Amino acid sequence: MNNIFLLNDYITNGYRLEFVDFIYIISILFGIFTIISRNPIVSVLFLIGLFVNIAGLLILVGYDYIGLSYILVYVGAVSILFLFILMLINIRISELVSETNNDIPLAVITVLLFYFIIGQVIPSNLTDNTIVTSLSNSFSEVYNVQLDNEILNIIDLKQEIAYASSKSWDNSLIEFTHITGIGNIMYTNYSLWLIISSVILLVGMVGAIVITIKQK
Amino acid sequence: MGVPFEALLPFGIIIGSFTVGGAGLWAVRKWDNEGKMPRWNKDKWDRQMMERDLRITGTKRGQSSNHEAPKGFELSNPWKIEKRIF
Amino acid sequence: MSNIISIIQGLLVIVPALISVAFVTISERKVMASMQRRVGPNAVGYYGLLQAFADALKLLLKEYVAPTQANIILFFLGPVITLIFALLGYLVIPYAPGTFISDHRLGIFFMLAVSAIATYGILLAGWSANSKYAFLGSLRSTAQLISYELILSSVLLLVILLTGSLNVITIVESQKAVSLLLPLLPLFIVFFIGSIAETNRAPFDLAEAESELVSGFMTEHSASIFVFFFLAEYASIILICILNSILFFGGYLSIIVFSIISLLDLSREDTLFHVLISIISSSPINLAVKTSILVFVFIWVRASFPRIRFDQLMSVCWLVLLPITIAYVILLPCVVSGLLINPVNISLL
Repeated sequence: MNNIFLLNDYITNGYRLEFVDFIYIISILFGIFTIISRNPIVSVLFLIGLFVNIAGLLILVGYDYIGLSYILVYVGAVSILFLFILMLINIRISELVSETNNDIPLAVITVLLFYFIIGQVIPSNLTDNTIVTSLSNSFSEVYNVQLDNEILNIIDLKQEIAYASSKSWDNSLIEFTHITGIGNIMYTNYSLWLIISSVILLVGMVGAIVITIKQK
Repeated sequence: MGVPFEALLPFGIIIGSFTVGGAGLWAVRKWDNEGKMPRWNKDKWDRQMMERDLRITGTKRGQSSNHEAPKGFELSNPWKIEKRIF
Repeated sequence: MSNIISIIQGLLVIVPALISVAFVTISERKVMASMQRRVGPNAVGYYGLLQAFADALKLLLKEYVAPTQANIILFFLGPVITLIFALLGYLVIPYAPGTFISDHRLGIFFMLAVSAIATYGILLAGWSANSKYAFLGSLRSTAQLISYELILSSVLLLVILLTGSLNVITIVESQKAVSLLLPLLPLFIVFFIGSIAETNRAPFDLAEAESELVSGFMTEHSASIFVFFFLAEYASIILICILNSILFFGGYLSIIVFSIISLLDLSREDTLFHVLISIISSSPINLAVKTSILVFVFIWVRASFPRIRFDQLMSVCWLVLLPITIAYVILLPCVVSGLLINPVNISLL
């Protein structure tokens, strides 16, 4: 006679699905405001808010390095230069009266159609993991306190489970951090692409210098 | 030659406040962690071992020198379950 | 229960930080007074120790005035962003082994990212005030911050190379044998100059040059939001001093005591002397003393050097400090791998 206990995945440190939904809504709003703001500076500010939001999402789902470098690169360097240049340009709000509202229904319809089709195909809930612990009856007194958050019906559970996996101990001996993983891939398998992208960056830099240099 | 000690008094207070704050934080962390200092820079293996300690002794920092696992240890291994989406 | 504990932990970090912010302002005034043969504030409290609280109280009780054409939301959001992200950096600071709020794996990286966002507060506050002085001040400040952030992060690269981790505690603990000041002495000087510029301190305080711009980006801010800026400025000074002492002076480790410990018989752990030594060798007081010395140097620098011009500021950054740093970034890995002295971090093995 075994009991089945269900508990939420605590490894994700209090992460819940609802937080992700919240971030989605905020980032969609920020994206819309980025487009519809008259003032370009306010628009860039919403873009920065979007970047921070997405970085928060990445950190929340576990990609800390990507999220933090997102903040560092996009927010700390790229957008601040955007903002800097926009602030230096003398923009009068009255010059920016361009009618953009007529595109909004089209945008709304497009997005709704897209998500309708996508929603039919892609499952809504990919991340709803739970951990099931099976315990012997004699022992369950100890673990009942910590483990049973909610006890579900076993038959329903069987229907809902796609597959179950346990911890593999030998894989955990060496943990790849994200930096190690990215660096390992970038400097070995994708080294050619790294070189090509660095050449592109160099060309961009030289091009900017050539454009701004004074011809005598 | 008079040392302007008045200028050094605020530094004493800064050092004192940081020391008191740090000591308080130390005490709280230690009390929160069953009288042991918290581990730092844990990797996956450390976390997994702490989880194993949780399964053996009931607390994350508890350690047991008992050569036999407690009853039910072999069954208390958590399983990760993907929800059926197809 | 765990929520209460984490709130207590947060308070135990934030409250000392804010108290020391208050006293750094007093110490700045007193030290500069002593250096300039003045008396300095001595009326409020004993030896003028409560002057900062009197000032803060005065500012909090004042009426705040927002300019009519200002963008009110951003006007108030700017100081808030600056203060919050200046204080968020304290999250990853270890006060003793195991004494931290967050043991983030990428702690140093987190501090960089947070300070990158804190720049926005200044930019927003200056732009939204709809004043030319504030705007110019914020542009100057932002240009300065993003230029000098480059130097700071390049130096951090080398520290990460030598310690093998981005975790702050690992960086501190790997300096047990020798603090990183010795192998990286020129870079410490570069980093220290960079941190003076990063906190908008004299002689690099072009953002609030009183003779040119009235008060820089906070010209229009008054009363309590000015207090926010004030707190954020000094909190970031203390934070960057802590960062200096963590990266180059071994943080909470004692500089002297470790050589004594190696002479001791480590097997006898029961004596009171040994316990005392082990407490002294890594305790918050070491970090506090190192930080205070660095804060004093900040004030000393302010009292000593005249303000430089803005083009000088930029050329010092881009033409002097950055080439040196980049040369080091290339040289040091070459030396390390050429002499086969790859630093090995025990915690990563």
